[in-house]
Amino acid sequence: MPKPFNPRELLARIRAVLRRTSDRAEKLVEPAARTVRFSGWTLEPARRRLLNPDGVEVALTGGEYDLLVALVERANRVLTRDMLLDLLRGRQAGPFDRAIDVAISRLRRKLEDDGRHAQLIKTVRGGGYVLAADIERS
Amino acid sequence: MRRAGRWYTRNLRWPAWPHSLVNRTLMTLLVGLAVVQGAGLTIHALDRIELQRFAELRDMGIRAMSIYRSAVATPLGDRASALREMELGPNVSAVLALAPPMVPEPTQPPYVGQIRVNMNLVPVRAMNRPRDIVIRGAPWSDMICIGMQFPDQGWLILRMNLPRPRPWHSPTFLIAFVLMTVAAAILSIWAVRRLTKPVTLLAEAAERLGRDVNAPPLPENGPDEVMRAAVAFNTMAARIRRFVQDRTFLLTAIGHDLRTPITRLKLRAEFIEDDEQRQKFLSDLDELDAMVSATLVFGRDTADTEPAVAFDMVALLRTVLDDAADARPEAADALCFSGPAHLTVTGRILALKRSFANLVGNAVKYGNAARVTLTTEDGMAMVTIEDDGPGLPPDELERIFEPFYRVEDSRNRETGGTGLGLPIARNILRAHGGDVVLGNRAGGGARAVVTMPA
Repeated sequence: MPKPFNPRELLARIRAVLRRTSDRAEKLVEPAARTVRFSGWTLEPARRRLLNPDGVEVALTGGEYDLLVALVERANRVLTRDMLLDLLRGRQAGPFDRAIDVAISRLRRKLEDDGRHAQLIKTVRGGGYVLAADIERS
Repeated sequence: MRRAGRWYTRNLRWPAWPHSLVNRTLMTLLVGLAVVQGAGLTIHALDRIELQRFAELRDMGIRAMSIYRSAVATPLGDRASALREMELGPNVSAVLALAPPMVPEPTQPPYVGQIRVNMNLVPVRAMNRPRDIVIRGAPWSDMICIGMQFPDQGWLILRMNLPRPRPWHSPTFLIAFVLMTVAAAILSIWAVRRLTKPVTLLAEAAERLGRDVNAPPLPENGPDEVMRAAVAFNTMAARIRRFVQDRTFLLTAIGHDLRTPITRLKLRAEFIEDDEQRQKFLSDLDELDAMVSATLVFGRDTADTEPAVAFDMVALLRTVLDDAADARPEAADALCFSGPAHLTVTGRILALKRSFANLVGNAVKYGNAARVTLTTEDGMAMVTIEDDGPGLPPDELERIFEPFYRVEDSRNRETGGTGLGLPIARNILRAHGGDVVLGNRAGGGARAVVTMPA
């Protein structure tokens, strides 16, 4: 939580965290400091930014960035909606199912991935998404 | 009348009248050069005509005396016929008369002298010398008339047509003259451009400094005066920069120091028993906190060291809209973007994102909508942000960009805000060589127009 904070909120959050820690799933977002390349795109976690194949920075919202990092971290593996929900919880308001789909469609648009014939972020029937690309770390 | 007035106005603003220093200096130099060349040319021509005339007059004297000598040697009765048969040479006519010539006007002394001197060069027996010589006609006129009185009886009158003076005697002279003039003009153009270039550079640097206090300094080289001006300019820029930095530092320091007591107050407020009082206390503190945060952001922008990068403007605008939609899901449908698929521009992406976020945030907050349109024109990207709100009072469209200024209606607590969003947005955009202006749409609602070099 960033400073300055509401003390009541802090208290509530500490309680919530304590409640959750026992059954918390493994963390999805690893603090990866290494630059990642996939399909020409470059993700620089150190500067929290994404560069397109021409080296032009493409802005992402916080939610999109976290989502992309999660997909890249587990590239070529299916991430269920539940896992992604957990990631985005607290950031998105409204019905969660739709939040994930909206975030994915925004991300696809930014990555120039056609929603109907998505090549990069593929929809897995039965509830999930997968980033289909060769990952190159440096 | 109307027509005359228009003519007058048009001619006062004669388009060819030079406005730039280069052209004015050039015009002065070239006009001066033309005057000098013209004067030199005239002097040369006059000199040449004079010389030519002297030579002609000498020649004339000798010819006149030779004719006279032949005539005087002939007996009185045969002179007329002898003259007719005589080879007089071109442009000369000779007649016998009883009186001296009366026209044209008498010749001035120096020319008379030239003719007489040469007449004496022709040997004539003393008894045959003319008793009187009358010379009339100016050397500038076409004709000179010489009358010589025979010792016995009558006058010999010679009319000599002078050839037109030819000051441009050689064609090479004119070619040389033209070449000289052209060379001088070209050299002037080159020199003037070179000399006035530092002025242009200085103006550009001042322009840059106005937009961005951290603009790179002027190169300190060139002639002494130029170098001194550049050094003075850089010193001034450094002082302004330090001044701005000091003020910004002061602002951020105060802002930062205020945060701790605000946090302490918040903690203490939690212990207020009365629920209503506590709530009011906390909301006041939140407002104070928001103002301090905005002040800190404002200060950070001025002294920002974020590097400029190439980024996709479309992705940035979409991100800003998506963030706004996430923050206000009920207004999400009123947020839309239209424009090209991509537009790469260079700038400080985080600062620009904040700038657009402030503008979009305002549109959503006061206008419940944000329709963003991106267009490009003449190397400038134009972003318009329209909303459906009540619009803005026309006389406040400019004041609204002053720090902490708020339109009267929005001073109430409900809308919140600190009065720094727009100044921050404008600061950032101006630092990028762009700007933002606010206006009202014809159909109601406000419109922010952002321009930025693309």
